[in-house]
Amino acid sequence: MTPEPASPAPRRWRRYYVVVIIIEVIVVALLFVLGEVYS
Amino acid sequence: MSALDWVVLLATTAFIVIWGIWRYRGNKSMAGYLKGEDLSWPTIGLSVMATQASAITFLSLPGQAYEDGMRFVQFYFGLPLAMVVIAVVFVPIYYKLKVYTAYEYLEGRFDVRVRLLAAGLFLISRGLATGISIYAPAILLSSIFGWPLEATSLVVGLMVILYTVIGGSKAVSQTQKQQMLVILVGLVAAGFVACSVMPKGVGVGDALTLAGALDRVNPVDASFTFSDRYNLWSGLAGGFLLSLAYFGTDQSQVGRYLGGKDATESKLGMLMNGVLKIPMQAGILFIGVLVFVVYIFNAPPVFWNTPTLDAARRAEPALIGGIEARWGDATAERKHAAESLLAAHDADDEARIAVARKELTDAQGHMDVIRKEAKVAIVQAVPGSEKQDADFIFFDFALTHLPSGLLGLLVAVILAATMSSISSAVSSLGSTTTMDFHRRLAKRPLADAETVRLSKLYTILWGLVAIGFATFASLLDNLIQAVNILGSLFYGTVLGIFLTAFFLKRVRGTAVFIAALISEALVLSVFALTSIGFLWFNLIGTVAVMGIALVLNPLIRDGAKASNSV
Repeated sequence: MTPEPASPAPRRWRRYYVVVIIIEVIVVALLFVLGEVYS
Repeated sequence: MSALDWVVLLATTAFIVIWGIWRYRGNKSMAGYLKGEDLSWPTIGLSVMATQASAITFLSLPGQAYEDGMRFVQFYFGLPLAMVVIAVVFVPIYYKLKVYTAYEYLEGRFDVRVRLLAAGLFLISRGLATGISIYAPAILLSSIFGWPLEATSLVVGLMVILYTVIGGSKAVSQTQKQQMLVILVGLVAAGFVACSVMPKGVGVGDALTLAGALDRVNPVDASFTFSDRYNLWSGLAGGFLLSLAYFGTDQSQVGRYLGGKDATESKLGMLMNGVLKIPMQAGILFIGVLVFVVYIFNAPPVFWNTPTLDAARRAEPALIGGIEARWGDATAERKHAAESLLAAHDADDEARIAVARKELTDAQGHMDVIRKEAKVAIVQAVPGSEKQDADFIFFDFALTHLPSGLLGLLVAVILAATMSSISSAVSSLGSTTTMDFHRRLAKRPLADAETVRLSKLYTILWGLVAIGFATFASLLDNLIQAVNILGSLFYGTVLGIFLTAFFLKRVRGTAVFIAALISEALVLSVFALTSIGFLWFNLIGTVAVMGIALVLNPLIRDGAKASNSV
């Protein structure tokens, strides 16, 4: 039996999740830099 | 407050309350009343954010940043990850089963005991926390208006009960959208005012230089200790689990996103919360840092709770007067050192910068010693008074520095934030009591109309209980911490039950029920007997439930079948 191709919806959701995590990493990195520059 | 402040305050508050009542007064269907049903993702996102952002957030966070810097923001580092897990695991399950409360799912997966245990733990923790949420702004408002605390709690509580009972879950979510808007406008305005009242020539960069030299710009701390409440690791691990428990299993939040048009809208709403939360909290803490710098140039009081300070002055005039005189000298010393540091920075003179930094930190150290001494003296002079005064800092700043109209807006922000979190809480307490206890344990099936009526009744009752508890609450260390500590005592256990349900498919009801009881006792013992930071309670409770349930499961004969579904 041929496996069904992955539907586009889960792929789109995966992209959303990755974007959320990337934004968090950027925000935390910016806060870290803020602390390093001004401490 | 000026006439303009009153106009802004009354117009903003009255509009939201009256609009909430009028717009959703005819909401009579069970799904419409208890869930909301057709909300879009921006409404869900704002509603979820407004539920978490109580007035405590705006009173306590700037005070916390003033005293301790921005490190509290790390508490939210686990939140975006938790939002992703909720969107992937929790939301689809709740939608698939069409549940009204999160705990309903537990009966299908385990048995009715586990459902009632989780719902009961929710009622205890949320009921108490709601009391604190009413109490915090009541202090502020009673100080401004001179009203008794009890009357203030009563007025705020009754306004919320009114539109929550009449409009149900939909009125809660829709009014929260407007409340969140008022909150954001108020915060941005407060930030601008804090920048504008700096002395001439002192910009945001200079403010950061001074705050940084005094260890207030410390948003990320990568060192690791168990007893430290806020560092990168406790924020990521403990904050993740606390957020997962709070947003995934606490009905005051689950109720927000169960009202979406469909699972997609709910998932997007949760992701919106994941993206915006850390910047918003960092922004509020940053306002606290700016307020700290404002008070470097404008001598702060030795104790922020003015009525208590006045009482201490009357009781021990010589002692308090002496402390305040030394405090005045120390604040002048710190101001001078701050000016020297900025001048040294302007001249780009490394040697002078080092000397001025040392002077500034010494002056701050001197002030810290005097403040500690003042707190001890004040508590002795005014028996029964509280040593903690950080929650009054932002309040003092607002009264002293906000222009006419903005003070009214800030009080409206405090009221909006209070009402938004209380409305979610009492609405969810009412629906949980109705669906998980009354309707579930009733001897006969209840019609939808009767269920809605009961839900209204329980919402009123919980509102009154919360108002009653608010009158007994007193300043517990710091109010936002008190709420989070309270949540952490129960969240680990409840999250452990849910994660066992989702991921440990072989575990049955009796094993998880006993594991939950043992774990709750363990968390309460750790809280009472050790100094471990409260964020770790979530991890301890969660791991304990899952681990003990796994061990007990093969040893216990259970009539109920293990679930292979969901």
